[in-house]
Amino acid sequence: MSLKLVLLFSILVLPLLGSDCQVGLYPLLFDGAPITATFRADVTTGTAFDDSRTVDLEEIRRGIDKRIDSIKVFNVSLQIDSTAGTNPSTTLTGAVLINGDTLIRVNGVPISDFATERSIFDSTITGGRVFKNKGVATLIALLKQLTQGTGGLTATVHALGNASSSPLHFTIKLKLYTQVFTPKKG
Amino acid sequence: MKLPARAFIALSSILFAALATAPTARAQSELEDAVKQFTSDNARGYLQPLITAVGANFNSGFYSTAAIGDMGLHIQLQLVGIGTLIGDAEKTFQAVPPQPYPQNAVQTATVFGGVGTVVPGPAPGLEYHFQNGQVKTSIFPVAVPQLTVGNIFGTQAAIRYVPIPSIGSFPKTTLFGIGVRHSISRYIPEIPVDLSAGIFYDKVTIGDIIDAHGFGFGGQASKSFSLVTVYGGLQYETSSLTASYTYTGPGPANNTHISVDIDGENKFRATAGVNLDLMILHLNGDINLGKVTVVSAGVGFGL
Repeated sequence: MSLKLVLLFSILVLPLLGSDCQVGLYPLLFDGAPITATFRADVTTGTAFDDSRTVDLEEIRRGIDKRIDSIKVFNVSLQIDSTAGTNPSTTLTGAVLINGDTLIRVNGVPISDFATERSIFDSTITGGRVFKNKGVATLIALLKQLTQGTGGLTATVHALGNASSSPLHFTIKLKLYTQVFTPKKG
Repeated sequence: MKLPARAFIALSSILFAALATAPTARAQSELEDAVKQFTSDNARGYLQPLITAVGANFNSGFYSTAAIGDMGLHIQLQLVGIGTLIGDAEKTFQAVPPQPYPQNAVQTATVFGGVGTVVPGPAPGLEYHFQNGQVKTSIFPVAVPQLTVGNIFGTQAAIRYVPIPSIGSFPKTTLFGIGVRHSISRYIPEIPVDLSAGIFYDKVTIGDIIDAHGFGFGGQASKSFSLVTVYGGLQYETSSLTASYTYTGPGPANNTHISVDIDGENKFRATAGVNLDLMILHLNGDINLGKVTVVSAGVGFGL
């Protein structure tokens, strides 16, 4: 066997030997199960509404059977599903708070703006920015707490406000979207 | 320096044993989990280099000579190690983050890439992280046993079959391949080289969500010098993969069934290789140049 042949064969074989194949080196990302807080408003006298809900944040990791390193929020959406009896031109002024911190504040926003699910971070919402950094920071802190804790974790979501007309018949849905990260290897 | 043939056999055996077991087996559960997180558009870009590599691998290693006898027994059992080289081009793709993030394409990791791109959000602490790469390698390898039988009127058939049962989190995987080659030089007397033409088909099923197919046809030429045969070929090929799964992410698409069909990008290749015949032992290695570069090496026993 000639030296040239040995070299040629080695060139073809050695790359396979040196493949250095590493699998799962970087953390896997999962989309957490969306968490929804739903508020039903049926106000026949007056224009104010005020309601609170407790949501179970544990739901985020439902269905993920892997070790979790961290959970991060990447979107929060709002939908106002108006039902029969509400004037279509009704506008809302109010807020959504999470554990007492304001997450959303709207001022004279038509309910039709949120007829379909819409991100609260959408910059084209009538009247401009509706989210508040304080509430976002509270959400982020809660998710960090959820990752570190072993027991259940809940959050209180409070929706309140005034409408421009009555009666009011609508459902407010606030939805939290997260990404769940597995630990880094090594 | 002279390396004995036995050293090659030992080297090849270790290599093939390693290729046949470790990397693809460990990759599977992570890979399936990663795929399920994608909507169809981003899954396509994330998986494209993998599909191209799988297709290019399975369309390789079917031959190591163009010489096919007219009639008589030819039987050879071979273990073929094949690897597609993974370069920088296979490690990134352009993806668009979900709303409300800016709808501009960003460069992020494919399944062979590194850490996925992080797109900052409109509020402090808010960000969207694209999926990270899951297989870090400079070559994507596979090893397959192959049985070649013939010769009938200058025709040989090659068969590949590998059933791997479900082991732990590694899903059941089945590979089946078949190829037929026919001597062209039997029709051209006095031609100084051997010529043949062949057609090949492969099917791979990985777990419940991935089905891949490969198909190729081409012509081969070879010239023998005592124990050594130099061979080459030109080949047209296609490959495709169907990822079929239930999307479990956010939004209206949650829990909807997604079926993504992705074609491999390798359509044409030129092959050059060397085959060494030592009685019943046959060693070969080749390089295949196309959209991707594939190297292949085989060790076989037979007549």
